[in-house]
Amino acid sequence: MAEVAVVPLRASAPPAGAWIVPPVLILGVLFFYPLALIARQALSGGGEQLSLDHAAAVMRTNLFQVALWHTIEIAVASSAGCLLLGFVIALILSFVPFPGAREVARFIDTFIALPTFLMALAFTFIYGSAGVVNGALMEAFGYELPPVDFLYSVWGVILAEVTVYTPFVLRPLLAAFSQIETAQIEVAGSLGAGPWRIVLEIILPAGLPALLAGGSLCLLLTVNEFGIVLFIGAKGVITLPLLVYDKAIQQGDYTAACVIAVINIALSLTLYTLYRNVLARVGGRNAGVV
Amino acid sequence: MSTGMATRGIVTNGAVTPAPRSPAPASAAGAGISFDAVTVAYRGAIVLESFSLEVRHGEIMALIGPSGSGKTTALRAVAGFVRPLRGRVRIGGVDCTDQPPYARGIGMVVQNYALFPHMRVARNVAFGLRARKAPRDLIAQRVEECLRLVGMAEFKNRYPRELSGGQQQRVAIARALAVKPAVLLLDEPLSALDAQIRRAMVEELAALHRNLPDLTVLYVTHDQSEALTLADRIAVMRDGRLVSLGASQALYRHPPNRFTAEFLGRANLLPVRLESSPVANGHLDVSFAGTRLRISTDGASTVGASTVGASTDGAVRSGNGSLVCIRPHALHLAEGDSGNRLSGTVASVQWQGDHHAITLDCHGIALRMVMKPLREPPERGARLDVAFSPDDATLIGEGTEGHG
Amino acid sequence: MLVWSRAGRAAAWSAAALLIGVVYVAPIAIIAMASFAGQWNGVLPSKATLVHYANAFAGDSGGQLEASLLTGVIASALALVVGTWSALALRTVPHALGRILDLVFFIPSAVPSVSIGLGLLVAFSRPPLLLNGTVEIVFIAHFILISAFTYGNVSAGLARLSPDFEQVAESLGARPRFRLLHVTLPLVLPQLIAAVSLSFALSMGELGATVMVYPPGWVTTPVGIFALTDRGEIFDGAASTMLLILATLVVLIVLSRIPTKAAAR
Repeated sequence: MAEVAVVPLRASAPPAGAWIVPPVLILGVLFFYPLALIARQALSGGGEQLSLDHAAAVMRTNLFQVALWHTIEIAVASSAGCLLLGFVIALILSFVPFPGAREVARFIDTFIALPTFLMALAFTFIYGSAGVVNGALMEAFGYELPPVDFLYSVWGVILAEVTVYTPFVLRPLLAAFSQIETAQIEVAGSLGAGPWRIVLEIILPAGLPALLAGGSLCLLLTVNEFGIVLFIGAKGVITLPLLVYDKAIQQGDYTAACVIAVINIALSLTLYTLYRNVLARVGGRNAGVV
Repeated sequence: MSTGMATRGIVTNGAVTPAPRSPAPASAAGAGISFDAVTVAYRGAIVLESFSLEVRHGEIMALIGPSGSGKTTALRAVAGFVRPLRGRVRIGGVDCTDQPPYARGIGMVVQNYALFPHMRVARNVAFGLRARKAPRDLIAQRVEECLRLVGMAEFKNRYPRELSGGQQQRVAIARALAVKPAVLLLDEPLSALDAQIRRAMVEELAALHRNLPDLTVLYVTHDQSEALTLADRIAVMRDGRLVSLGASQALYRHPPNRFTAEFLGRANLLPVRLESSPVANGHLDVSFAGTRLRISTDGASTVGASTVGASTDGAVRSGNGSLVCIRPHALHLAEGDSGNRLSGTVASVQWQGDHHAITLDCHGIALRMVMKPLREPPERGARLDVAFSPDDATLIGEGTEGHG
Repeated sequence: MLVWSRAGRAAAWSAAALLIGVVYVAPIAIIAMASFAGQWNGVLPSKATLVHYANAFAGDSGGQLEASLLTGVIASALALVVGTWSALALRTVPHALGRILDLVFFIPSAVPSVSIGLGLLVAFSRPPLLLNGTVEIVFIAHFILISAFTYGNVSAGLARLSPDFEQVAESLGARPRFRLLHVTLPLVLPQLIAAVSLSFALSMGELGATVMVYPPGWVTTPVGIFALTDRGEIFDGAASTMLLILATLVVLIVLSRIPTKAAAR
C-alpha cells in the first residue's frame, strides 16, 4: 500500500537531481582525483606495485614520529587554550558588559578573516630575540642574552595558535551566552549565589554545547595549521603539514610527502567527523567549518 | 468598494492568461474543483484516503478538521505541491493532476502569508503577472485594482516588514487575486492573527467574496467559527477521510455524526432508544432514561447535510446505540407542559457577561445550555425543567463516522 | 550584572582590557609600527619612513597584491557559482543521497591546505591535465579550499528559507527559472554575500596550498611576505602584511555595504 512518498513537485529538476552532476564532477576531478593519486603514490612509491613498505619506512623515521607528536601536542594544547581564553573573554563581554563591548567582540571576530601567519609575524616583533619585550627587559635589567625565548619552542606556536583560533570559540560562545536570560542570573543572585557559583551552575552548562563545538573545530584547524609553524620557523618544531611541505618542495621526495599527507588527512577527517558529530549532537547545523 | 474584480467579465480579455508556451490553465472564469478518489501517502503513511469532493463554482468550501486530518494535504494536492498516489484532481473540469503548480491558474494564501520580503507591496502583488509576462500597463492597472479591493492602495510602496499582520494578510490576498485565479486556496489564512483582528478579517473575507461571486474558494481551517461564518458548505475531515459534508448551517444544526457534532461546536449528546418506527410523518419518537422525546427527521434531509459511509437512516434503522444531538442554545426553560421536556439538577451556573451558561445533571448526563442573562439564575442543586423543539434535535448513530 | 561591586567590575574590566590588549591589539599595533619603522634599535622604532611601503610596490614584491586580489576574486567567484549551484541542486536529490553529498561538499574544508596543494601537484603534473607551473593551478587550489565555505553558507541560507516563499511563487505562475531569479536567490542574498566575503578573505590569506603550487610569475602576497621575512627583511614583510590586511578589509567593507532587503526579515 505504502509505495510512494509524497513527491514534492520540484519542476526545476529535470530527471530528479541531474543538476547535481556538474558540481560533483568538478569536485571529483579537482579534489577527489588528486586525493586518490596521493594515496596511490603513498602506496606505490611511484612504481607499479602497491605495498605498505614505503609507508612503513616513512613512519619509522624519527622525524615523522616527532612531527606527529608535535602536531597532536600543539593541537590539544592550543585548543585547550582557546577554550579557556574564549570562555574568559566571552564571560566578561557578556556578563560584565561595558560600553563598547559589542565593538570589541566584532574586532576580535575580524581575526577570523585575517591570515593566520599575521600573528606569527607579530609575535616575532614582540617576543622575538630582538623583539619589544626582550629589548625592554634587556634595557631595564641589563641582561646579556634575551631572557624571553619561548617563541622558538612549541610554546611559541601554541600561543600564536591560541590567539588566532580563540575567535572560533568566542563566536558560538557569545551566541550561546546571549540566550541566557538576565533574569535567570538575577534570580540566582537574589537567592544568594555568588559569581563563581553562577558561572559554574548556570553559565557553564549553557555554554557547554558551544564550547564542545568550538573546541572540536579548533582541534581540526590547529592540526591543519601551516602558516604559523612555517613563519615562526623554529628548528625543533615540525608538524605534519610542515613536513609534507618540506619533503615535497625542499627535498623533492614526493612519496614520503604523500605518505605523510595521507596520515595527516586521515587524522583531519577523523577530527572532522568528531566535529560533525558534536554539531549534530548539540544541535544547530553550523555552516561548514566557520 | 469600487472594483473591477467584481465583474468577472474582464477575466477573458486574455491579458492575464499565461504566456503562450505555458500549458493552458484551467479556464479562469467559473471553475470548480473536483477531487476524484484522491489518495496521498507520505513516507509510507496514507494521509489522504480516497478523498472525493466537488467544490462548486463560486462557493466557499471550508475544509475543516483537527491537525493531521488531511485537510492541508487536500489543499496542497489542488495547488500541485503533493502528487496523489491515486485519483485525479480537476480544476474547472480540466484534469490537472500532472500539471506543475505554475500551470494551474490558482491563487494561494498561506498561514504566514509568505510575502516576498525583498519586494515592496506593489511588486508583491505584481509578482504573478510578471511571472506570466503580462504587459506592463496591465500589471500597473491590476495591482492598483487589487490593492484597492483589499483597501491597501496607499501602502503600495511599503515593504512587508513595515506592515501589521492584518495588512500583510490583505496584501497576500491581493497578490493571489491579481492573477485572476480560477480558484483561491486559503490555508489557515487567519491563524497567525490575534482574535480581534481575526474576527474583522472574517468579515472582510466575506465582503470580498460578495464582490467576487464567481471566485471559487477552498478554505482550510481548524477553527469552526471561521468556517461557519464564511463557508457556504463545510467538509469535515478526520484521519485523511471526509467525515461529513453539508451546507454550513445544516451541518451545524443537524450533524450527521458524533464527530461532526462535537467538532463544529458544543453539543449535548443523549443516548436514546428508538420508540416509533422510523420516519413516520416526518418525525420519530425516542426515549431517553424513560422520557419520551420527539424528533423531527426532516431537518437533515431537507438541508442536505450528509455523512460519508453511513446515512442518518442507517443510524436510525440500527435503533440501538443512537444519540440525540441538541445544541446548548436550543435548550430553553420549559413553560407549560408541551413538547420535549428534560428535567435535571443544576450542577453549575456561570454568568459570562452576555449570557448565562448552566449545566444540568440529567440522569448522569451533563446537559449544557446557554441563555440570555437571567435576572434570577437558578441555585445550584435546584431542579430545573428544560425543553427543546423537535426541529432542533438530530438523531445520530454512535458509529456513523465510518470508523473509530 | 554578574559582578555587583564596583571594585569587582573594575577588576574584571582591567583584566579584559589587558587580555584583549596584549592578545589582539598589540600584535596589530606592532606590525603597523614595524611597517613604518626606519630604525629599530631600542625598545620601539625610532624613525618613521614610508620606504617599506614603497618597496611593497616595487621590485620582487611588485604585483604581488595584484596577484592576490585577482586570485581572490577569481577563486571566490568560481566558488560562489559552484557552491550556490551545489546547494540549490542538492535540494532536488533524494534525501539519503543528499546527506552523503552534503558531507562530500564539506570535506575539502577539513583537509589540510598543504595536502590539497600536494594533491594538485601530483595529479596535474602528468597527462591528461598538465597544469603544473600555470596560474590556473593556483586558482584551482584556492577554489577547492574555499568551495566548502560557500556551499555551507548558501545551503544554510536555503535551509532557513521557508518553503512557503517558493511554493507561493510557483502557485502564482512562476516557472522554475523565474522563481530562482526573483525569489530564491534574492532571499539568500545575505548568505551569498557572507559566502563571498569569507571565501575572499580566506583566499587573500592562503599560504599552505599556494606555497606548494605557485608558478614563478604568480607570487601572492602571503608567499611574498614569507619570502621577505625568511630573508630577514621583516619591515618590508610588515608593510606587505598591512597592505594585505587593508586590501582584505576594504573589500569586506564594500561587500557588507551591498543592500540586502531580505536581511531585515
